[in-house]
Amino acid sequence: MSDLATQLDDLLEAPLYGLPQADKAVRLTRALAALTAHHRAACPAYRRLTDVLGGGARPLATLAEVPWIPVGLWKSHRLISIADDAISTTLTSSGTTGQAPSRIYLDKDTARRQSRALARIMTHVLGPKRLPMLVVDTRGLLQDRHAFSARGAGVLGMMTFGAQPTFVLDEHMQLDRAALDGFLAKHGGTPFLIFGFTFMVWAYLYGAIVGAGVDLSNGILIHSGGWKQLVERAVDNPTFKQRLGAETGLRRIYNFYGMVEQVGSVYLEGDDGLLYPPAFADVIIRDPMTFAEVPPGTAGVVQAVSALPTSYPGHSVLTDDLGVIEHVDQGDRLGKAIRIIGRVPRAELRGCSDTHAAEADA
Amino acid sequence: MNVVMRVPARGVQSLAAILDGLIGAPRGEPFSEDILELCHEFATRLLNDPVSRVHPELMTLGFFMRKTELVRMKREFETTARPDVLRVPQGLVFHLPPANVDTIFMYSWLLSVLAGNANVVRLSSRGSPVVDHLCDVLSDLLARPGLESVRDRVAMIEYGHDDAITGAISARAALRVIWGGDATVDAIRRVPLAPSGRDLAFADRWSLVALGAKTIAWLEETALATLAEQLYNDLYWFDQLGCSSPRLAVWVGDAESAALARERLWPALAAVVARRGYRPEVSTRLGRELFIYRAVLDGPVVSRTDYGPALAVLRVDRLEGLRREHPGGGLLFEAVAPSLVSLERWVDRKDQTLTYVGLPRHELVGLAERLAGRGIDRIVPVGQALSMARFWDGLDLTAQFVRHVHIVG
Repeated sequence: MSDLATQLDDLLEAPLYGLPQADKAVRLTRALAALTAHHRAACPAYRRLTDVLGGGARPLATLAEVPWIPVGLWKSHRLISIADDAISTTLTSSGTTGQAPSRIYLDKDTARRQSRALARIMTHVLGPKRLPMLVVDTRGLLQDRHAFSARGAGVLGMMTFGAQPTFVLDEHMQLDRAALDGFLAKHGGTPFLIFGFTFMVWAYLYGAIVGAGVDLSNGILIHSGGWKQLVERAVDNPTFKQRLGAETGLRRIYNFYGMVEQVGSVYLEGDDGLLYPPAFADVIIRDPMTFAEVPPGTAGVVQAVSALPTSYPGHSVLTDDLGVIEHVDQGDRLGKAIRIIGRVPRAELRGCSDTHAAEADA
Repeated sequence: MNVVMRVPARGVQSLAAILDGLIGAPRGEPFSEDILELCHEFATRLLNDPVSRVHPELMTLGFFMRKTELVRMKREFETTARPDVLRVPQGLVFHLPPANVDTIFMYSWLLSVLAGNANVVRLSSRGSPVVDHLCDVLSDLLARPGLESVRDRVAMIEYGHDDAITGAISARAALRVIWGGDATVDAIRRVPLAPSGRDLAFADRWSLVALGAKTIAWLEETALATLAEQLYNDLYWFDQLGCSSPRLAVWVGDAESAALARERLWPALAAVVARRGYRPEVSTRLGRELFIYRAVLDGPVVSRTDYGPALAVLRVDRLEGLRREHPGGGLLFEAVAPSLVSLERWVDRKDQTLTYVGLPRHELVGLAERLAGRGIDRIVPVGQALSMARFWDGLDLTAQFVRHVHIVG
């Protein structure tokens, strides 16, 4: 375990976006192979899955050979590689209504690695100093300290990179103008951090200040949470950035992609609008029918790998998202530059099972 | 309260007026000539319809409605006549077919209309090309002169999940036919019927195929190809989500023959899947993958073999502990059993259809006798899993759709 820990920590401190893909793949494959062995030894469910479906104990020569777990399995099964008394935090996904949430069990080591990972990624754009922080959310989110929702965990995680957090939404998701104006009067003249979920930033911040002449030009906006609701409103990432910029002077806007199953391994947007997995994480894009790895330029299902989790077997996850690798080792950041296309569209249910429930859901 | 009428004509109409019309219409009698004529026309249209080539389930429906078939059904009906019983229509029958097995509403309606009933059929407001097409063809035929009496006894209406509408129809229906799943049956049952009304409810079911291992191990190539085609139809027509599509394949015989047979049949099936160009939706494919992981953690799965992207076979080393769940999209559990009758301990109420190949009739009957009604309501050859018939879920539907008036003296 200590060998593994050292190996993971080394990767955690590697240049974030400075490893050429070939070098990164070699280091990451070695770490993920060690993690696979670790979880096989520590998690009986994972061992059974890899024995029956993943070829058992076998050498892993490339990233694409690392066995994966479909992301939905955390909604139905308890996948954990530590003793219960070592659990320090349980993360749950917000999920859609009626669906069971994902449950992710963290111990101190995994939580520490996640925090460190997030810190390295965020300071990459924020700098080492903790900036005053605007949170586009409500303070009520952080009530239960033991079981955070993904949203709560996200906000809490980001709060460590800001100072004097100001929550600008009330419990009804209405913008608190007085709080916003107060914050800007105090901190608006120098760089400050804005954090929120993409949809909330658009609907509850931007939506409430259109035409009001609010100056956010010193802000650095970091946002995440998916584009589904915005795509429905015909707002894509370029539109999002352009409209916010035109309205408020906000220029430094960074989207990131992450999931509760791999907290810390976020893919932060570069200046080119593409997302970059850090040194200790990566994506493999797979053909949605054959699950064979597809080359850059071809869209497919996103498999996300991360060298962070030792407390649960989440180092290789097959997501429900479609994405594409736009290029590799080009531009300022090395490694894979990816674009997330969005959630796989839900098929219409066929057959004679529970059409009532399915329709009610649709 | 207004609803969208689809058959016999498109348009928004008052539900009360529709129900008054149906209930006030002169009653039919079982297997009357005008209905046989309508069905014959309908079948002819379907069997010659280019749309049926794209949707083979329409072909099957067409065959089911051919005059020869219906005349045979009529004769069967007559052979069960008794001098002291007069069989008359139930009256108003309310059909709630599943939203997405596109042809069931027609079978449900057909068996009921043949009995002389007036029928309200609820169609999902979500629509489907196959349902739309069937409604258009039927409306077109019903507009012909001479079919007024049939036309007056049918209303197919579209509405979403509206308990007020369901309740208004239920209050006046003699018989309500609910095609599952379980959640639908539960939801509809909460809506009261008239005190004299009855429910005919079809819950979620599970189905399996029994394969004679020795027969298939030594089957000649052309027969193997035919068998693969038949299995394809059974599995893939409705993304393997129809209740009677097999989800479990049981090799009956010794392990050696089963091993030989498996290596022949699954690749042959995969070849048909590839040739027909069947591709599940991406979400179905991902859903199936997740299901496989869950099945491994929850059940006795010992191995997985993929035969192309649309056929995964999960071998189980015992049936105990195998959950009757299924994601659709090309997945079979696979077991080996020394004899068909050894399935007796495992079969339960949820099991509906046993399709078979290479097994003698006496073994099939033997299993059914041993089960004595604990499960399996249909035993049909491979290729017929999805063929609707008068006998369904343990019921003789023709008998269910009429009332039996007992006249002594």
